[in-house]
Amino acid sequence: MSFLVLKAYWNLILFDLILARGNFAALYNKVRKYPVGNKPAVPDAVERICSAVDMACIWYWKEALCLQRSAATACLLKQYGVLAQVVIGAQQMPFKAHAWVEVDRRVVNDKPYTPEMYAVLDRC
Amino acid sequence: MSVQFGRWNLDGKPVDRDYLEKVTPLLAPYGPDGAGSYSNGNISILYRGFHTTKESRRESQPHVTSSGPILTWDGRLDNRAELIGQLGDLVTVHSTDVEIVSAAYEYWWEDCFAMLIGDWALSIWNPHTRSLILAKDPIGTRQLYYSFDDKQVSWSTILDPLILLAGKTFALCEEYIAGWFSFFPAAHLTPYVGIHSAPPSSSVLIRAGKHIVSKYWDFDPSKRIRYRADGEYEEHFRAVFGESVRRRLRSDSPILAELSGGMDSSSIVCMADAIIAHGAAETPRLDTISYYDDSEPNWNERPYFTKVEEKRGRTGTHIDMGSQELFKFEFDSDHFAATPGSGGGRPSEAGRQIAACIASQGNRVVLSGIGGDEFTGGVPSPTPELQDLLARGLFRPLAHQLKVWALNKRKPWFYLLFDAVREFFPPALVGVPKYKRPAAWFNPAFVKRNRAALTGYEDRTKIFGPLPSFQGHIGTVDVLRRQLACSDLSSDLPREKRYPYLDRTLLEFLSAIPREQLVRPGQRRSLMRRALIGIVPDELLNRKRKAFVNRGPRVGIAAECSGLELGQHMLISSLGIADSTRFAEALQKIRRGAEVPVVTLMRTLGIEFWLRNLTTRHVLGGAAWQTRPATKQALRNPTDQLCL
Repeated sequence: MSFLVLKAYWNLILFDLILARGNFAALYNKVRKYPVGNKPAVPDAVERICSAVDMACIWYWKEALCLQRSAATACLLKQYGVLAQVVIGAQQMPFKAHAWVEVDRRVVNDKPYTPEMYAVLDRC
Repeated sequence: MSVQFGRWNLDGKPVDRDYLEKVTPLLAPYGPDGAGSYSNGNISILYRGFHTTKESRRESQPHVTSSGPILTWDGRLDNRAELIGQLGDLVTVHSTDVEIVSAAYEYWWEDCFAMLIGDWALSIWNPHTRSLILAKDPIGTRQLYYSFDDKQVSWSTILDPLILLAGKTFALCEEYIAGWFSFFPAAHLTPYVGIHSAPPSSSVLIRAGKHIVSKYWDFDPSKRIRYRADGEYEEHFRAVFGESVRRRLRSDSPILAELSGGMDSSSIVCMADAIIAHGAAETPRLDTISYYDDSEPNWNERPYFTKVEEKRGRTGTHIDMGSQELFKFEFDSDHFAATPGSGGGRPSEAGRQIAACIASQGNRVVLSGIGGDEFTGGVPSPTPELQDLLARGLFRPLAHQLKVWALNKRKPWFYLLFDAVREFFPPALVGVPKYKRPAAWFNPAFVKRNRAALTGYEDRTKIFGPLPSFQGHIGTVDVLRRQLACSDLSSDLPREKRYPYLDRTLLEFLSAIPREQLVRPGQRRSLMRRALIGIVPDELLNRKRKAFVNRGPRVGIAAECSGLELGQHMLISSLGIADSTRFAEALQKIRRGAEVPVVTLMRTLGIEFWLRNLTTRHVLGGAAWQTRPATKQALRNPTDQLCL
């Protein structure tokens, strides 16, 4: 678990740096092209990885953004053989955008009703 | 909710009959069940009844007590049986509430106020000591205003006669206006300098040359309830919440309950049904009224209030708010609005539907869920719990709870720790939270003069003394007191609002239990959900998502503002409250869908149009502004003497 937390922490730093440069395209491509691991995922991989990212977030030096956290989670999930997608959604009034991770169309790192609150703009 | 009015001429002259004849029609719409009056020399008291209980129909008010003082009572006494037992032969079970209160006053004098449980406001004129006492219940659910100068004292349930018949103009209280923009003005203020509101939990003694405000009751910080098991807290909660609802079912006409589909109103309705089914309530029936807006993405309440209706086997009245004109800021020119919340005069379509519902069902009492969110853990903040652990020096549990809450909130643990610690420091040192900061369009000088009111009277949490969670509870009670002090009576169709979550016994219980009973990581309203299993439908108890209205107000303002003629000559700008250019920018932003403090924006618009209404009624004097904040004297020194 602690190794997973370290990996999650590293991913948070990586995507933080990408976002700090304002390079959304790089983040998008990185997540989309991230290779899915060959080994079949262990049954509780999703829960363990999401917990590890949450743990990394509480030790991060600043509050992790939803996009940063979702990108870190999706890449880690893919690395462990889980076909995960970062979903980007927005609401119009007031304008607000949000990102979360879905596995088999199920929200894994946010409230289950999140898709009801935002119109989905893209999946990567 | 009955209304009272009194006038005492200090110069000894009898009260002008013409004056009283002008007051009567202003009171009449609020009290359609008959009138009473008392006049003796230089004092006159008027009463208009609005009866909601079978006992109240036998009342005769103003009530002359056996030793002479004149008592006028607007209220519902909840602990009748207890007081009847203590007063012995002085009263019987058939006595009216005003007779019991009168006997209690004659027995214990001013000490009786703390013993009166319920929603009430009263006035007592004592001809022997030539003194007047005005008092209100601890939460301030009823209104009672007063004004005095060196010639006369006037008091009234409604503001209108004190303003329109004063024979003079008034300056506006700047602090009141500032408070209206945030978490409401201090409860003793009114918009008019020289007119006061009797503060909740306090009595006001007025004698020639003296005006003394005294707090007669407060929450006891030393009272703590600690049980071994969760089940005992749940049982206790069920008992006090059930009693609170039962007290508010005392009515000889059918009661109307607001049923939003959220936890607060649904719990009231389901608990009331259980009480009525056991034959423990006086009301013959409970009706419900629900509001919905299918176009609001975060307010899809229909499935939830439908669940409650299915459980009770009755469908209530449903009002579609999506088709309503909700954001009408302009006031009718022939309507006088005493406060910014008085409404524009012409009822909205929703208002007409509610009035029609009440009239057709014969409802006189409306149950409201106000306060449920604030007191039963609807806001899942870890701060009070973490502060309690810090204040008690329990560092190991603090570290554990920090981790658990940080995981739940997905925030760095030191952010949560900082949020907890910052409240121990003066706001001037650490600033106020972002959501409490004054909006950008307010004039800096106005903000500087009224910072306390604009930031919700934010005060430092004390690390020593009462537990921080208790201090937070008292702060929340104060917010609710201020909110209720700003609520207006309805004259188009009189009704009495009752608030089960603002019951004194319930609030005392909630202030005495550990904070972690109310809110746990990932469990909003933990105690309430656990305690009401089997009473409230599971779909509501297990509901994860909290409904909120976000889109509607923005769309409404964006649509309405295009038709508003605000221009550069806004009154709020000429009075130095706001910068009209920056306010116009905020309106532009909301039209574009950008994030702006929408409640403050709506209230700013409301104040602008209310001020325009006041100027047409000529109630404001030439120097329309009192810039000196007036709160500190009454808030910090509850016993306060002013010479007439």
